[in-house]
Amino acid sequence: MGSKLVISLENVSKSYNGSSDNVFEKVNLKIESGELLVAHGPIGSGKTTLLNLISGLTKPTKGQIQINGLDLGAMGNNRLAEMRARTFGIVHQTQNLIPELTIVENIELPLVFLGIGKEERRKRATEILRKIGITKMAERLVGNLSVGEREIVAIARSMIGNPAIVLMDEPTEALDPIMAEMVLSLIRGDSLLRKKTIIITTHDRRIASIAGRVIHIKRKIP
Amino acid sequence: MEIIARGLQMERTQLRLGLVIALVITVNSVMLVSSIGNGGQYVIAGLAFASMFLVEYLLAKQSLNTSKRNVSVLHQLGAKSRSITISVLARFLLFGFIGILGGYILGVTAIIVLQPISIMYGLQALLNQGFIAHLVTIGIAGIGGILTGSYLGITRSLQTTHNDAISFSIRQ
Repeated sequence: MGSKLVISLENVSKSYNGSSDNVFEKVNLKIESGELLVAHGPIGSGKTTLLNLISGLTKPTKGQIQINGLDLGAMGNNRLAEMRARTFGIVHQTQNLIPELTIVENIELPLVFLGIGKEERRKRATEILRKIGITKMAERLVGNLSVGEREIVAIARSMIGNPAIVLMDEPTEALDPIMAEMVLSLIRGDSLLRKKTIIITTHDRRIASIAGRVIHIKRKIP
Repeated sequence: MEIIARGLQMERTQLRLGLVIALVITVNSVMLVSSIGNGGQYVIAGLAFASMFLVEYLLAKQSLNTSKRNVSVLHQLGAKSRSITISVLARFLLFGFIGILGGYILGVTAIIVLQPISIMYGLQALLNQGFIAHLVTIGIAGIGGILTGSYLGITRSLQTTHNDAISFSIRQ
């Protein structure tokens, strides 16, 4: 059975604040289900913008982006939010956890937006915590965690809704070698990320080495 | 909804301030309505509505503005503006309702205590159906002010925060 096209960028250009300088210009990219794609490039080359475009957090200046055949440009904010909740697991560069909530509450948060009840949410979050081996830390506030621990929690949170597409922005940046290896093993391991389409932006060559496909993004704006 | 409200860092200070102001407005309205006749009660109800509206609008807006970062995170995770609005509105309504109830108790107590100097009504007036109807009008006006004020404050704040969610994400 052939792989299905899940993400399609056609002639996508993006500039910010009405600037004539495009971060991207006429980008074409097709990603199939189950692919592990790494976008490799220097800081400031637009890797994060690529993920924001794919997840609908920002709109292209020109061109069309389709996710599972649906045109993001035709969706309003509410439909985009719903699509993000149902389709994407996102790990941001700064993890974007809510410091006032505990680890387990942060992990179960995406399920709230899928309308899943409290008991089921807690059950699934506990299961994920067990898989990544941090069950004992469940009730700790994330504000007290190290960067590496926050990264692990953010990855767990991105997995909780069993999304078809996982976007990770520089997941090993600012991590010590041990934590970086732990993150890599989570990405490589097949228990959590099996059969998912994964897009990782990085300038870490270790991640590039485990990718199914690597695309290089050059810095366009000096 | 509880987890969203906690995740939004709902400022207890702002909610308590909303409660106290609702209480003070209700006390004043109840006391005034006991000594004014000739349709003046409706003016008082109107003033109660306007005061509650303004206070709750400003408090709700400020409350969300202080939680801007967390609102952005919720948007990124797929929260619809409607979910955030409902959870914040529920809290403001709850605290405002408690304030109004407290205002009734304090206001009526004050009327009983100050009975000798009450001009038009006295203790007997508390059992007067007209007076009770005016109290109900004040309550409805107060809740209406809280509901519309906080709703408008939340939606106005979310409009700007949604755009910030994008720029917040881009800045990383």
